[in-house]
This record gives sequence, structure tokens and C-alpha cells, in this order.
Amino acid sequence: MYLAAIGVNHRTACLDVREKVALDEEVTRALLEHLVSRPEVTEAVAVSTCNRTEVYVVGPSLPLRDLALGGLCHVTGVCRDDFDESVYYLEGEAAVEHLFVVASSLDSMVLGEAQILHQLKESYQTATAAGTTGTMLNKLFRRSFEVGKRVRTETRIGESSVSIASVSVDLARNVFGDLALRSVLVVGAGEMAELVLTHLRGHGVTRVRVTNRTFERAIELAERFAGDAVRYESLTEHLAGVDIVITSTGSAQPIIRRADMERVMKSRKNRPVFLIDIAVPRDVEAAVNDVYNAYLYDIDDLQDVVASNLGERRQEATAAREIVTDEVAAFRAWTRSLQVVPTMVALRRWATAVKEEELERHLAKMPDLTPDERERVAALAHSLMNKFLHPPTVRVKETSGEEEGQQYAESLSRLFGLEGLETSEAHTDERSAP
Amino acid sequence: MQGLEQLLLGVALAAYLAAAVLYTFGLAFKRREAGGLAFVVLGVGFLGQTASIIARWVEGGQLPLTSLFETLVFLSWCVVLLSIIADRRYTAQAAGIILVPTAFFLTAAAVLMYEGPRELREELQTHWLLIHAGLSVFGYAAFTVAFATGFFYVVQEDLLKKKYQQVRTLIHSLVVAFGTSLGLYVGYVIADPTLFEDALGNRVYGYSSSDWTIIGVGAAVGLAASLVIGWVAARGASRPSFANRLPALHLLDRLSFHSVLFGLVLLAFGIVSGAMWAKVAWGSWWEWDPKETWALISWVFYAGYVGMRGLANWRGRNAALIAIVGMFLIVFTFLGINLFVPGRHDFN
Repeated sequence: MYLAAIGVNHRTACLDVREKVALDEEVTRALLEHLVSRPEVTEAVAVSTCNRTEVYVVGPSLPLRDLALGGLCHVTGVCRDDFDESVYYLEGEAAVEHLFVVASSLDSMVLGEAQILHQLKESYQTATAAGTTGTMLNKLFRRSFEVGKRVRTETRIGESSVSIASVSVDLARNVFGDLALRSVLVVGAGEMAELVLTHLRGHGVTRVRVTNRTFERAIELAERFAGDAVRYESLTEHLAGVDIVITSTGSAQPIIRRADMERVMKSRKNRPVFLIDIAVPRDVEAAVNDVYNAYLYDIDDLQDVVASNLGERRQEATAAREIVTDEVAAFRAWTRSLQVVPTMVALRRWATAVKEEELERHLAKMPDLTPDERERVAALAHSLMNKFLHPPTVRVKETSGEEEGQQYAESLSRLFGLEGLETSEAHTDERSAP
Repeated sequence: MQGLEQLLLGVALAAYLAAAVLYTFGLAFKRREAGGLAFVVLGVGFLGQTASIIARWVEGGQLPLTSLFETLVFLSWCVVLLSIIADRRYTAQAAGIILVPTAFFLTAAAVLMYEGPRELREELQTHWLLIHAGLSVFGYAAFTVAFATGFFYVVQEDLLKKKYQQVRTLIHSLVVAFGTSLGLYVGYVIADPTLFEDALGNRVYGYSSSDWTIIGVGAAVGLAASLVIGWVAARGASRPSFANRLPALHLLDRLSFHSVLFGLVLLAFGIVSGAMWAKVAWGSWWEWDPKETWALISWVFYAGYVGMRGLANWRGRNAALIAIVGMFLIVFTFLGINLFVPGRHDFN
């Protein structure tokens, strides 16, 4: 039972390639069924997100690269030569480590993002529904979810905000605390402005005013943003009445100048105002930040905060790596313990065969025994066998995660001539139903 | 009884130290568990100190507010009480970072000069003392809370305004100013004034040169330690993720303002009750004793700020700076007077 993985991700392949090998649920199922229909593959899981497509396979022998890659090409119809050099292939422990790294979002485009764990779970569910997982991949994927969870709770890799919108919310909260009763004025349109507004809403902001140079457009936008349209001419008046201002117009000249803000601040009675200027060129004069109790962040300032927060996530990545290393070691112990199972089963099978054979031979020589006595003799033989097998079985199981256990199993195999009797079928009965 | 009182005070002292470390750790590394644990430890210390005060009260038969030791213990008790309120009611855990160490140093200073309950001059054996001193000291504690929240307001506001750049100097200077004052204060508490005769032959309390050395060393140690701590803190604090851990400006401003209001009311009652006591005891309302004068100056200072807040919208940074400057007035009123000028508020 050997594990291997192939894949392409945002580091190795451009979007063009990733798009071609991206798998929707239906194609995924086709791929999984195609793979396990081959005798070389016993288990398979396929993971596909916008940043990666990966296939995890388990089979009785290695390598499995060509097979897995062939399957991927078969279902997507992509010519293998088109992306062969972008593909990474990992075997055994390297594949385990890779999945754990992915689950910890250490391999993600945005370090520490939370989506990947969810996507992995979905991929795994698709595979269990298709019935293509077994002992190895069940254990591996379930463990990877635990690893991902551990990394998120034991490190702060996902804590600091790394998008313009979430950083804007952080800053607004640093000024106002609870945002539930705060009001927002959106000047102009734009995707980024909308995104920031959505995030603010997520933190309880409900009162939204929208304005635009043309009032018709303002009404249009107000509908989309679920706010009230206000006239652009009365901008100053509205600046005095809101807590947060988002500007995103195409104006070549600043629309809010320091002198305006000075006046506004007077009528605001020094209540703080937080301005988010997403426009390029800027809508708000930089000197507005010098006005008492006015806080102005332009797109560069926000990006600086994002960069600083990403730096913190990178620091946390070191701790996350350590968790992954630990978990890989634990998984190694588990796979090793799995390796002794066929030997122990074979040993038992051999001993049982010997017992049966000898019983038959000796009972044949004692035809006078009553059925009760025959049963006694059989029980004696069985009990003896169990007693003899017990100490080595326990010892091997105890040490099965370490080198020692592996050596014992190997010795047993040679001493008792078990080589021919060992089959990996021995533990398919452990396959747990999803 | 005295043994029990000391034991309980020791428990409080240890708990305050642990809570101070935990609060700082929680803010520096964003460990929410540390903040929660700090609160529990602080609570244990508070109960210990409360029991200690009660034990002394029972033994001495009067509310322990008659010596510098007792006043310091009471002040630290008030500071802890208020920081518990700040932590729960306003969820401003960061305030604990200044308040709890302050409470610790106050308690430590008190422990260093521990003395048993003493026989009071007959004129002081009155409920007036309890009312007058208790209210005034509680007022000082409220102003300490205003100071701590003002301090963090200035830090948070600078981080926001200057976009996490070039704020190191400010944070460093704030920490150094705080640390040096603290060192000076600890030195003052350790130094023991002695009786000597002045040029006119009056017997007054004063400081010998060795006392001044102790005070100087205290200030120097405070300066040196806060230079280092301030540098580290300023480095660590100059980043957005630190600002996210501080309370919001809105909250700090509100808490600081409420503390000043509370302190003003308490100090007003403290001053008025003092005047009434003076009328009863000495037959005159007001004597322009230095402590009376400075308490009045402090009160007018804070009252002026509250007035300006209503009239000219003094909120935000200016309000925070006032709370910080006001603290120096309060420290001078509470201790400086006893240090430099003799008067009827001497503890001896």
C-alpha cells in the first residue's frame, strides 16, 4: 500500500494551465472512478481549487505518476505535454507532508486563508461518496483536517487582516469600537468601495448614504448598496453627519480638501471621522489627515497595513511548519504500524493452519473419543496456539510505530517463512464506511 | 491578627505582580487566555487585600486611613477596584497594563514601610477622617484611571494618525516619563524622613542626604529600566496588529472622561468634607494649607477640562493629554506636598 500525489498549483503553473485541469464535481467523480478501475490504484482523492489541482492515489506499487497524470488528462481532455513540466509528483511521506502543508494553508496564495480547509473537506466528501477512499486516504485526509485546525488554533496565522476591505474594518474599529450604530457615506462607485462596504455591513453598519456627481447614478448605486441616495451638492453637510467616509470617484482633483474638513470638523463638534480613500488619483487631500480627530487612509496606507499583517502571518508560518513536522512524524508511526499488520495476520493464519492440520492428524488416530472429548482436545490446541502467539504479537504491536517493530515483523516473516502468506488484503476489512 | 493582615497583604502583592505580568503578556502577544487569567488573579489579589484591610480595621478599631502606609494600601485598593470595573464594564483590558502595575507598586511601597495600627492623636479620632481621606483618595484613584486610559488614547491615536510609522519616539518618551516618575516615587516611599531642627530651631521632618540618594537612585533605576522597556515596547507597538489589541479611541475617550467626572465628584466631596471637618476641629473652613491649595488647583484643572469639553468640544487627544498632565498634579498633591512642604496633612 503506497501513497503518491501529483498536482499543479499557483506556484508551478499559470492560471491558463490551472483553468484547463480544474475539476468540477462531476469530472472529479469520473476521474476517481477511472483511477480505481485500474488494478494499480486502490484509493483516490482529487482536490481542485482555483489555485491547485491535486490527485492523491494509493496503490500496491510505485511509481503512480504516469497513471494519475494519465487519468487527469483522460477526464479533462488536456494534452499531457501541455503541462507536464508544471506537474509535481510526491511519494509516501513527501505526499503526506504536502497535504498537511496545504491543509495548514501554508501553500496558499494568501498565507493563512481559511478557505482551503473547507475545500479539502469537500474534495474528500466527493471521494467518500464515490467510494474511492480506504484505510490510507481516510486516515490521511481526516488527519489533515486536524492538522489544519491545529494550525489555526495554535498559531495566529489566520488572525491579522490581509485584504484592503478587512483592514479598513480593523481601522474603523480602532476608532469607533463597535460599528453597529455607525453610519457610512459612500462617494462614487467601484468594486473595492462595494467590498469595503460589504465588510462594514458584516460588522453591523446599517446606515449607509450614497452620493455621486449625477443624482441618477447615486440613486442607482443606493439601490445596489441598500442605502439612501443623497445629493452631491450637499456633500459637506453629509460629511458632518457620518462616521465613516468611503471615496471612490474618477475625479482628477481632490473632492475633499483640508479647509473643507476643518469646517466640517467644527460642525461635527470634534467627533472623530474615518476616511477611506480608494480612488486613484486620490479624492481626499492628504493634509486632511492633519485635521484634529480626522483619520485618512488612502490605498497605499491600506496596502502598507496589509503588507505588515502579511509579515506577521509569515512569522507564524514557522510555528505552523513545526506542527506539520510533528504531524508527519505521527503519521509515519501510523503507516509503519500498518505495515506490520500483514505479517501478524499471516503469522496467525500460518499458526491456525498448523493447528488445524495437527488436530486433524491426531484426532484421526483417536477414534474412541466422545464428541465432548474431541472438543476438549481442539480447545487445548487452540489455547496453546494463542498462548504462544500472544507475547510476540503484543511486542510487535507495541513497537510497530518504530524501527524496532518493523525489524521484529521482518524477522518473524523470515523465521516462520511467511513471505508468501502476506497480502495487503489483510487490512481491507479496516476500511471504514464514510 | 497582625500576622493575618500581613499574610493577606502579601497574597495581594503577589497576585498583583502576577496579574501585571499576565496583562502585559496578553497585550504584547495577543493571548486572550492570559487576559482572562489576569482578571482572575487580580480578583484573588483584590479579595486578599480587602480582607487584609478589614483585618486591620477590626484590630485597630478605625478605618485604616491614618498613616501613609494605610493610605497607600487604600489607594491601591481603589485603583484595583476601578481597573476591575474598567476591565468588565468597559472591556478596556489594556488599562490594566498601567493600572495593575501601579497598584502593585503602591502595594509594594506600602509593604516596604509596613507599620502596625497606631494610636491616633485625639483630634483625629473622628469619622471626619474616614469620610475626608477616603473620598479624596478614591478620587485620586479615579484620576489614575483617567491617566491610564488617556495614555493609551495617545498611543492608539498616534498609531492611527501616523499610520504605524514614526511613533516609536512618542511611545518611548511616554514609557520613560512614566517609569522615571514611578522610580522617583518608589525612592520617595523607601526614603524615611527624619526629624531635625531648622535654622529657626523648629523641629520639622526632612530628608537627610542619604534619603536624597535613595530618591535619586530610585529615579535613575526607573529611568534606566523604562529606557530599555520603552524601546522594546515602542518597537513592538509600531504595528497595526498591536493597535487592534488596544481598545478603540471611542472607548478610551469615554472611559477617561467618565473617570475624570467620577474623580471630580469624589474630590469635591473630599475637599468639602475636609473644610467641614476643619470648621468643627479648628473653627475655620479654609486655611490655605498647601495640600488644600493643591487639591483645589487639581480640582479646578479637571473641572476646567470638563467645562471645555462641554463648551468647546475638547474631546480626543487634548482630553487625553489633560488626563496625563493632571496625573502629575495629583501625584504632587497626594505625595509631593508631604515631601516638600510641612502642613497639617502630615501623616506624623
